This record gives sequence, structure tokens and C-alpha cells, in this order.
Amino acid sequence: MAVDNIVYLIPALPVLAFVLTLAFGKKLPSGGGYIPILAIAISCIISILAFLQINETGIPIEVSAHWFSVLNVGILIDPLASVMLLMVTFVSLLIHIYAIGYMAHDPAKPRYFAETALFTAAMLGVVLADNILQFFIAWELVGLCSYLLIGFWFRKPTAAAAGKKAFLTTRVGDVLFLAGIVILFFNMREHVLPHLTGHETVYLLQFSTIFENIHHIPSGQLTIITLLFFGGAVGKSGQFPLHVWLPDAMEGPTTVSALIHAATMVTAGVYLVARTFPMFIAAPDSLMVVAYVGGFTALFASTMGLVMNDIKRVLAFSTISQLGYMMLALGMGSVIGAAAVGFAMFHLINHAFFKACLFLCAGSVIHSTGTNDLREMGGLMSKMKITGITMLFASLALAGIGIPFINKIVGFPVGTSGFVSKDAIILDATYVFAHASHDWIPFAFGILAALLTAIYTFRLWFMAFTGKPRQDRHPHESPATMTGVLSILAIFALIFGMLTFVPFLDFVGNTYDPHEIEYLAGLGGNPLLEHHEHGIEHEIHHIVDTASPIIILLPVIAGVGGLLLAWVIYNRRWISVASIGNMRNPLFAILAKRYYQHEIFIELISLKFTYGVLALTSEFSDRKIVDGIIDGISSFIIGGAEVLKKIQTGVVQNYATATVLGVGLIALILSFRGVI
Amino acid sequence: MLPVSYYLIVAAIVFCIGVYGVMTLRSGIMIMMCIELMLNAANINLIAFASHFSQVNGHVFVLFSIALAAAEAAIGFAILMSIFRSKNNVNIDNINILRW
Amino acid sequence: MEQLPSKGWNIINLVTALLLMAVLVFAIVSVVGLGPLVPSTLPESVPIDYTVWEDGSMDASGIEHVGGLLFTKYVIPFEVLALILLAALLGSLYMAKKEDE
Repeated sequence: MAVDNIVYLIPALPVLAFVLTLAFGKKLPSGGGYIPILAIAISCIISILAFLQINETGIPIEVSAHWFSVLNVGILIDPLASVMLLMVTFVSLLIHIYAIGYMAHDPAKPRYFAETALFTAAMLGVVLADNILQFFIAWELVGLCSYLLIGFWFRKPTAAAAGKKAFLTTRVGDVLFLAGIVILFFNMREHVLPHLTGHETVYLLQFSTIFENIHHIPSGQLTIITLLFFGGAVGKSGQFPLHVWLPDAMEGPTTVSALIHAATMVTAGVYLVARTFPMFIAAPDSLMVVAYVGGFTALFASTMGLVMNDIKRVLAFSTISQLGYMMLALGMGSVIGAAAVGFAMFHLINHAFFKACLFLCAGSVIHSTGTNDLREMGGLMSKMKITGITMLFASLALAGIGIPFINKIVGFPVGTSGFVSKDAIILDATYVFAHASHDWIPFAFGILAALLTAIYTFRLWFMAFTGKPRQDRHPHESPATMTGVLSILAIFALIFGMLTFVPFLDFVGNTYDPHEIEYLAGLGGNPLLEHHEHGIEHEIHHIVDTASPIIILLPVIAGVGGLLLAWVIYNRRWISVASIGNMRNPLFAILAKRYYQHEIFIELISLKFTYGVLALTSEFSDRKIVDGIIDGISSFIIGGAEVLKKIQTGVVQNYATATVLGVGLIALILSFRGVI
Repeated sequence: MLPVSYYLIVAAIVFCIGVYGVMTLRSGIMIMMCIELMLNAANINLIAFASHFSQVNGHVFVLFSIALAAAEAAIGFAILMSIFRSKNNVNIDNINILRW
Repeated sequence: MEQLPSKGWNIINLVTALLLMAVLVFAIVSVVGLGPLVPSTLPESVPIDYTVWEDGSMDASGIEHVGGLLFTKYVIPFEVLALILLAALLGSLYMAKKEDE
């Protein structure tokens, strides 16, 4: 196995790039940006080689070394990890190339490139980890790099505050994740280790060990563990209620937003749930929690994205919403089994392409107009053709525009990659779920969110690129390094989904053995679809094919309907925006104030309750009561001493009196004891 | 001869008078006199037991005790002279610097 | 001359002395007993050791024995006592002497 020997280079080369860029970046042209590009390019090539090997042989790549006690350090590349690797390295490479142009005028370039190289290394560490502890370590490192990069322009107070908020919010998730790991470790040690003695060295936290022995862990504990893991994913992937850091994280440079908050870091949460999917499916009710939280977030964030005026914030809420879709897809695994992992990962990868493209186009627009505010842009299409067209393609992908029903004829779906993946989630996942369990809520979440997504996406495109210019800003097209990347990403956004739908699902579906998943689903009481010989995918296709045509058309109606609505309002202006979009409209006011979350979380919970009630009470009791007791004891003793010291009068005769008394007492005692 | 307890009780009474005087009297010279009283009470004890058992050892011890009492009185009065020089009176209860 | 709380101390001193006397009397009575004693260890028939001088007078004080003991068995304490008296003499002379200007 040739690639096994060099897979450790995949994360190691970006770390080396980090060190070199930090040390020598100032002296090199472009702030040392070419070092990370070279390192990530080599990592990309090695990832491609690993993918080819796994595709050929079907055997995952496993490399492991002993660390201490029952823990190991290792690399696991199975189909799930290999597609994620390809996406991370490829998108990271493109964004680094883009950043050479975008950050050209920034004096702190070496720091930027060093930090993004470290970030890429950490994300690759997350993807490649073969045990949950290593996963967590890399996860934390990713969070650190996110903090550094969000607060990249740290002299701006809002940027520093945003970095802090991101770190603290994801920290809440990280604490839950760590708690889950600890509980898992204790359960493994108590319930699993007795069954494994006698073999060679056992690594308790390795994924393969965990998955083989899930049936030994009590299901109540398993539910707690998986819900805690999901808590970590909620923090990192910005699900409700820990989503508050993502919109503020737009304070960082746009390339950071594209890399971290579109393609890689926020997808780490989805990857976590996908990676530990056997545990989730074996735990009762965990997947339902995942589905509902994800679905609710998808709808919730898309409502807020409708009213944002900052171009990047619209995209931030869009990211939160799409991550909600991915969680929703994973949650449907309670009915469709391991195919859910395939659907979620497919959407993840497509989303990476079109969202990164959207962010980079936004960066291009910001770079040329100098403003983030949508209300100050307009009519850019004439001056920035490439940006406009690539952004149009990416927006079509985000809104999920495509041609239904052709897939029965041609054998693969035809449409933008967003259409393919979102359709897969809405139809193949949530509709099948609704059909089997008669719970239509996830389906409703999906459809409504799709409608709102289309509206705000095209609102953004129409406001920025069409109509009359609202301000006089002299926009110009961006340099070739930037537009080249935009074009590549836009092409991927258009056709990747179509071309790779079927082989991708087959490939990723091999990550988990279907019979094992069936057995685990039985443990967790998850009602998997009955399938008789052909496998769950066949059953899924059967249900979707026999669905009513209206159901199949609904996502497309939502997408195209949203596009038309946005066209009507923002391009043709047949309905005036100002009549509905002002603060007197209570619905608009709620959305614009982001459902008063700032007020609730910070003003009410943290300031009034935690600080005012808990902290001040503790401080009062510590100061007054505890210190009061100590001071009371000491002043009591001092008072006693003040009284007793009056015995020392200094007159010798009084001492003689005392002596005589003592002698008499001794004589008395001795006479009673019979000595005298 | 009287029973020895009578002599002992007399000695005890004299001793207690001396103790009371040492504790109460203000003048240094009076305190010296009471110290002599206490020593003499002890001497009475010694003589009483010596006579009761017809031994001579007690008498010899009393001789030594008297001589020592004399020496100690000499030193004591010399100290009282020093005190008188500095304070112009011999009130012992004025010497109370080592108080609270 | 400052006034010390002498009245309080007087009472304490009186009480102390009376208590001491009580203790001593109690100790004496409990050991030696009151009133006529148990017979002394010497029976009546043992004569008291009278010393007879040359002129025929008799002396029951035992002073001859005192002198004998003083210069044989207790001669060292006797000599030391002499030294003590010397030291006391010199010491008190030195302390009581008038200071030179």
C-alpha cells in the first residue's frame, strides 16, 4: 500500500508551511503566500492518490501508533474521510490562490497565510483522525485558528469582539463535546474493556473499537453521549441556539469567511455526526433531536437572512441555514440508515463549492466597490461581468434551481449541484421519512426553507448586480487570480452535482456496512425501512418514484417561486420594498432585530441573571459571611485577650499572691493523692 | 511534751501571717520583716520535729537556716537602698513597669 | 504615688492567706493527727539524752551534739556558709555604697 506511508504528510505539510511562513514570510514576495499554496497542493495530490486507492481496493487506509495507556494516534481514511479530504484541500487551495490577490494590500499578509495554513492543517487533522480524542484536539485547534482569523484585523474593536464571541460560543459546544468523550471513555472502560482483554493492545477511543462494541454500551448512556457530541456540533456548525457567532464572524476578511465559514470549519460539526453515525443510530431518539434542531435552524436562519443589508451577513445566515439542511439529512437516518450520511455529505461538498464561490464573489464586489452594504450597490453587472456571472451560477445552485423528472429518463439528475443535493435531501430523505413515519414536519421545514433561501439569494443578486447604481463607486473587475478561482468554483457549482450524484452515494454509502447499521438501528429503536433484497437505496428510489408528481415538483416550485418573487420585488419593483421592509412592520422589526437574541442572551441571561443574581450573591456571601466568620473569630479572641491581659499588673506582690494560690492548690492535690 | 501537731499548727499560722504581709504591705522594709517571719516559721517546724524524734540534725539545719536568713536580709536591704536612691521612697507597688 | 486598686487586692490577699492556712492545717491534721499523738517511737523507758557538765549541771538541749555534728559531718556546709556570709557582706556593701560623683 504505497499511499499509507505518506498520508501523514497531508496534515504535516501545512503545519510546516505555517512555521515557515511565520518565520520567513516577511522577506518573501506576496507575504510568503506561495509556501502554503505549495504545501496544500501537495496535500491535495496525496489526497487524490488516497482516494484512487480506496476507490480501487475498497479497503480504508489505517495508520496508527501507540500514544500512552489505551490511547493511540492515527490516521483513518475511509470513503467518508477521503471525499472530505478532497474537498478541504481543493477548496483551501483555491481560496489561498484567491487570497494572494485579495490580501495584496494588507501589511499583515505573513500572519494571514500562516494562520490559514495552520487552520488547514487542523481541519485536515479533524478529517483524518482515527480516534475521537485526536478528533477533539484538532477540533479545538480549528476553533483557535477561527478565533485568530476572525479577529485578524484585531485593531478594529468589532473584529476583536467578534473573534471573542466566536471562540466563547464554540467553547460552550466544545465543553459538551468533551463531556461526551469523557462519558464515552468511562463507558468503554467499564463495559467494553472486560470483553477485549486477551487481545493485543486495545485503543479504547478509536472509532473502529467503538463501533464494533456499541452493543455493550447501555443505551441510556449512548443517548447522553451522542447528544453531548451533537452539542459540540451545534456550537461548531452554528445550529440554534449557538448560531450567534456566525453573523458576527463576518468581521474577518472575506477569504476567511469563505474558507472557514462556508467550506471547512462549520462543516466539522456535520462531519462529527457523520463520523459517529453508528453511535447516533444506535442511540434512541438522538437522530430525531438532530433532525429537528437542524430543520428548525434551516428555517430560522433563512427568515433572518431576508432582512440583512450587509452582503456577507446574508451569506452567513445562508450558511447556517444550509448547515441546518445537512443536520436534517443526517437526522433522517433513523429511517433511511447510512444513506443519510451520503446525502448530508453530498450537500456538504456541493455547498462548499457554491458557498465559497458566493463568498469570494462577495469579496470581489467588496474589493471593487469598497462597501459591504447592499443598499449602496447596484448595476454592477455591466462593470464586473465575470463576477456577476459566476455569482449568478452560484446563486442558482444555492436556490436549488434545476429540471425535475429528467432523472428518470437520463439516469442522473439535471440541474445545478445545489438542486441535486437539496432535492436529494428534501425528496430522498425527508419525504421518505414522512412517508414511513407520517411525520411531515421535517419535509415542511425543508420546503419552507428552500423558498426563503431562493428569495434572499436572489434578493442579494438583484440588489447588487442589476438596476441603477445607487452610489457612485467606480467599480472595476478583479484581477485574474481572483476571477480565475471564481470561475473554477462556479463551474463546479454548476455541474459537479449532476455528474457525481450516483457514484458519490455509492462510494460514501460503503463507509458503513448496511447489515451493521441495520443491527444498530434495531438497538436504538430506529424504524429503518423494510427492504427485502436490494438494499435501502433501492427502497428509497422506489418510494420517491412512486410519489405524487406534486411532491417531486415542490422543491423546484419553491426555488423558482422564490426567484420570481425576488425578481418582482427587487428588480422590477412592482411591489415596493419600503412598504414592507420598514421598521413599522412588526414582522420586519422582529427579523431585523434577529428575534431579539442579543437582548435575550446577553442582556437578560448573562448580565441580569448570571452576573446580577448568581455572581453578586456569591460575592456577597463570600465577603460578608465567610470573611465575617473569620473576622468574628479573630476579634472575639482579641477581645478576650484585652480582658485577660489586665492580670499582669506589674506589681510583684500580686504575682506573689498568685504563686501562693498555686502552691496551696498543689498542696491540696498532693494531700489528696496521699503524697503529703 | 505537747503533741507535735500543736507546734506545726503554730508554725503554719505564723507562716500564713508572713505570707499575708508579703502580699499586702506596701513598704519594702515591712516586706523584709514578713519574709523573716516566714523563715522563722519554717525553723519552728524543724525544731519541733527534731525534738519530737530526739535528733540533733534538725538543730544543725536551723543554724544554717538562720545564718542564711541573715545573709539574705543583708542583700535585701542593700537592694532597698538602691530603690530608695532612685525613687526616694520604698513603696514596692510603684515598681510596675512590666505591666500590660 | 498612683492609686492602685488596693482594696480589691487586700481582700484577695486575705482570702489567699486564709485558704493557705486551711490547706496547711488540713495537711497537718490529716498526716500527724490532732491531740495526743500515737505514742512516740521512743518508749518511756528510753532516757532523754542529758549532757552532764563538769559542775554537775545537766543539760537536755543537746548543744554538745550540735557542736560535734557541726564540725564533723556538716563541716563542708559550715565552711560554705562562711563563704556565703562573706559574699553577702561584700555584695551588700557594694550595692549600698554611696555613688561617687
